[in-house]
Amino acid sequence: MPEKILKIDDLAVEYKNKGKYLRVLQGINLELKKEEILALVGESGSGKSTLGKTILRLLPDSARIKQGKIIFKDQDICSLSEKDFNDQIRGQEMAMVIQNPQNALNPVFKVGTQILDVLYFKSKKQKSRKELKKEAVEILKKVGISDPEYRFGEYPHQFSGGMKQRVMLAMAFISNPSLLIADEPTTALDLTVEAQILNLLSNLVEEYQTSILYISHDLGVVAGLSDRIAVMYAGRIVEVAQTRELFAEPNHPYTEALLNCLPDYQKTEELQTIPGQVPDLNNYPTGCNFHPRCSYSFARCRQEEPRLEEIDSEHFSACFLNDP
Amino acid sequence: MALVEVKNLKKYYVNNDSLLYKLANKGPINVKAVDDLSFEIEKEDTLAVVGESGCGKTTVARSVLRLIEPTAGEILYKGRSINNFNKQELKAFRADAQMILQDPRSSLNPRFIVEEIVSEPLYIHNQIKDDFNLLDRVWELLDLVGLSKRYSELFPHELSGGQARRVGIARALALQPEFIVCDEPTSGLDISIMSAVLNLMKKLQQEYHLTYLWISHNLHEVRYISNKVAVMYLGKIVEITDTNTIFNNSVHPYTEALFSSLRGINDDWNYKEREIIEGEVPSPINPPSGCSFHPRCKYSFAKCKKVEPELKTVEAGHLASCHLYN
Repeated sequence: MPEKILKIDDLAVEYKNKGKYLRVLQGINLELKKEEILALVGESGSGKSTLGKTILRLLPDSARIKQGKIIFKDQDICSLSEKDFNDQIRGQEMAMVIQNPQNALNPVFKVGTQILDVLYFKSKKQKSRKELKKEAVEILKKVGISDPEYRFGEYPHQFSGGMKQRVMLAMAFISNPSLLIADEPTTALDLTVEAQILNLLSNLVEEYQTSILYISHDLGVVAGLSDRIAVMYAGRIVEVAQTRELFAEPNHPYTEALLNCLPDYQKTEELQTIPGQVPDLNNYPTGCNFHPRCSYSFARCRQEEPRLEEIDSEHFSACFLNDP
Repeated sequence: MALVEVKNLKKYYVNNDSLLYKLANKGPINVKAVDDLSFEIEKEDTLAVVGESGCGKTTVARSVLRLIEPTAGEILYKGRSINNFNKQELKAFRADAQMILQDPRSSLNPRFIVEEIVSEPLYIHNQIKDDFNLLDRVWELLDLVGLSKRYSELFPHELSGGQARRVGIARALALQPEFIVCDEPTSGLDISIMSAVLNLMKKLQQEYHLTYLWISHNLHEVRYISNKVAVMYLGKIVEITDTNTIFNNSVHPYTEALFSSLRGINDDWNYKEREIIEGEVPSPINPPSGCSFHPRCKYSFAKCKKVEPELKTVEAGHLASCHLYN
């Protein structure tokens, strides 16, 4: 039985809007094993980025954790003080790679300086930056940046998007984190560069034995990257399964509909669509969040909220169809 | 006769703004955004142009509509050169050839309600008999793209991304065009909305006999919507043929590399074990000598470094520019 890195227990997060709290995440239960890549997929507004930010405690002031626990290596990180969390976990045990590498690097400092900063703080300010330079160049080389010595002294604007994302990955892996949260790190990149970055990421995961929570809306990408997939809809996790199993035998009607919508080069038949729209945050339907758009919905879906239950080994789904 | 014919299109941007260059007095630098491009689009066809960012897809789209003036070359619409159109002819052409823009929201005027946005082309082209008919026509257009009447009174900020996209499509259809340039019309949309937009575009094409020039980087979408594909690399077409051939029997190494990054969700594969093309697209300011793809090409040989390959027929209706096949 592999070790569990992260366990999220009945998590609910709310955002304050015009004096009212809106439920953004509801009843999230999720486990992440060691060295596992778990993909979190869903459409915009489904709460996947919020979940990533909640784990790193990067939520804005207007948000609050209503209930639930986030247990990271046997420790409830919600109850830690901000200082302890910053000293022990954020940037050390957990790291994040964000969507837009353009905004993640400071434009007025050299790339090398920014990597040195991370190394300097990792050494608890014991080593001088001069001593660390060799290490920094080594890291640049490892993430596949050609001519690292020269590149070390360049500014972010001299790097291409793909190279910036390589630098971000390098910085994230410096502290050898147990958990990396990757929030759509390849959306701004071209197809061939995207494949390069994901190939690099796969190799880094193996080398550093890191677990990854990979947030994405691109099912094609996660098909080739993740071990397991969690599908989110309107603030809830509706299905969790092994990657191949999810694509071959989707259980939840939303997953099924989503897969039928997806244009695929092997598919020639007409694409299906999901009628209606993702519900508004302040106006969730009663019962199952998906029932107004679901072609299988029946009376019970409108009244009760389905819970995420194990329907097969390691395959969880939140739908009353499994529970007649 | 093809509806649109592009002959040896060139668009160079001159980059001599930099003070350093002026001081060094090096003369202007030409950035070859599009270099010697030729293709045809038959009526009711969909030609998809694919390629990575910076390869000149959008420059092609804009030149074809004469939104930018080409440096050289000719674009024929129904056999007549659009670059020699006078003001009147150009206005008629503008009504006949429309564009759907990439960003659904920033392409709509935030101070106009949907009714004004959709009816503006009708005003400009004097196709309004009276205001009473106008609203009927707007409703008809909105209905066509699957929006109900109440949307005509909303502002763009009140629309979702998918709805804003549909308004953009309704506006493009207002003047009953024959030819529509679609510049990444599904980028930034969620999967369920993307499939709805794709289905809508396909349905409209069949109903109104539309011809599309479809710019995209989503190959799955290209497979679904197009019947011809042109692959671009650094301002040039490297391969052009029908969609089936490009997916099954492509010949150019770049096409091969690009399409090898394509996997279906039901294939068993992962990024760790896959062979991945190295390097990135070079800068068009300083392109490599010979074949611009040779530094990344695994088949490259001596000739590729020196001689630029020409786009030549590999078999009927299938053109590629690679020394391996000439």
